[in-house]
Amino acid sequence: MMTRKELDLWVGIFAVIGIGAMLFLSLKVANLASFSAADSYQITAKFDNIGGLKVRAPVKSAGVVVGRVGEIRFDNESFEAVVALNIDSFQRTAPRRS
Amino acid sequence: MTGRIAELLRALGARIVNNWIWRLGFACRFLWFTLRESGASFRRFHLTIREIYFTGVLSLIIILVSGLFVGMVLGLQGYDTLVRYGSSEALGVLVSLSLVRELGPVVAGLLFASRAGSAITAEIGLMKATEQLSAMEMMAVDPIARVVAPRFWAGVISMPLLAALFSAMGVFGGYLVGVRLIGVDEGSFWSQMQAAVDFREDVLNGVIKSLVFGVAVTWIAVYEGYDAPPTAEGVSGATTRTVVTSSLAILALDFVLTALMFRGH
Repeated sequence: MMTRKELDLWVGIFAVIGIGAMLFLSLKVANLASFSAADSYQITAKFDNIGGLKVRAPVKSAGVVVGRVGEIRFDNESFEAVVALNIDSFQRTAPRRS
Repeated sequence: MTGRIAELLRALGARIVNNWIWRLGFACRFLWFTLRESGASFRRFHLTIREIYFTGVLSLIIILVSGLFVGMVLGLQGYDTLVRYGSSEALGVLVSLSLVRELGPVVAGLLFASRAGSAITAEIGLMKATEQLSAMEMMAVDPIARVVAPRFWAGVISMPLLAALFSAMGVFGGYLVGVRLIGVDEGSFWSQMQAAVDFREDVLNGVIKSLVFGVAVTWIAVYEGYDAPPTAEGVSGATTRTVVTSSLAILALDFVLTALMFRGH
């Protein structure tokens, strides 16, 4: 039979490597660290057809990711798609392509 | 003739009421009692720690080894398919998304049900068969608070950790096969994965799935153990039922949760 100290040690190791695995999945696989939700300004753009554009798709300027697509909705008056773009605030350039 | 049909229908109704509805109602009441009596398993947390050792730590080997092999197989099979479309760099995306969203929680849950769930049922069933539970009641110790609740919470705590370990090991296995063995470019393996996997959408939903599976598996395991007929046959039948019922519950719940979480937007 194991003593209580040994049990505590093993369960502690288990908890540490389990939480470590969760951190690995969040930081290394999902890259949470570079995902900045703060400090962005919003631009809305209208399109006749958005093709296969999805929410959270990258917004690129000259091929560099400058922001993410925030919201896609349909404008009932102009019959166009309205796309809200969240652009990182350190970017000064207006986005050309999405 | 009509009398015989009525007799058959009555027998069917009695079976459904006795085997399904009555048991389901008792299982729900049992879960309610377990939750109500679970204060002691947190106040005297060493009881729960002991059970985490038996359900979580002793499941580590099977979870880690299976995760590694599942990831390596995903790496081989995924590369074989992706290379036909000239997009073998997307291997990291394929391996990580299928593990984090589906295979991690589901396969870890199935392994957990057969490794830890069956052990919980057999232990509680045998305690009941040897009248240890009645002896506790005699000493004014509530067996639900002392035996059932710590095992329940240990399973609920262990399961998300085991699923995360399974997924992490699987990603590592896919990396070993894809990058080290086959020679997919290491930079694009990781960067495409990081661009495609979202924390809230993929990782967090996977953790929620594994938590739900943990509750379902341990609930079924402690209930079947507590409800087992106090004979050798009864305990063995209850152990089998735990594995079968919780595997089916995991797969059914997985479909429902996937339909709620990833509706493809």
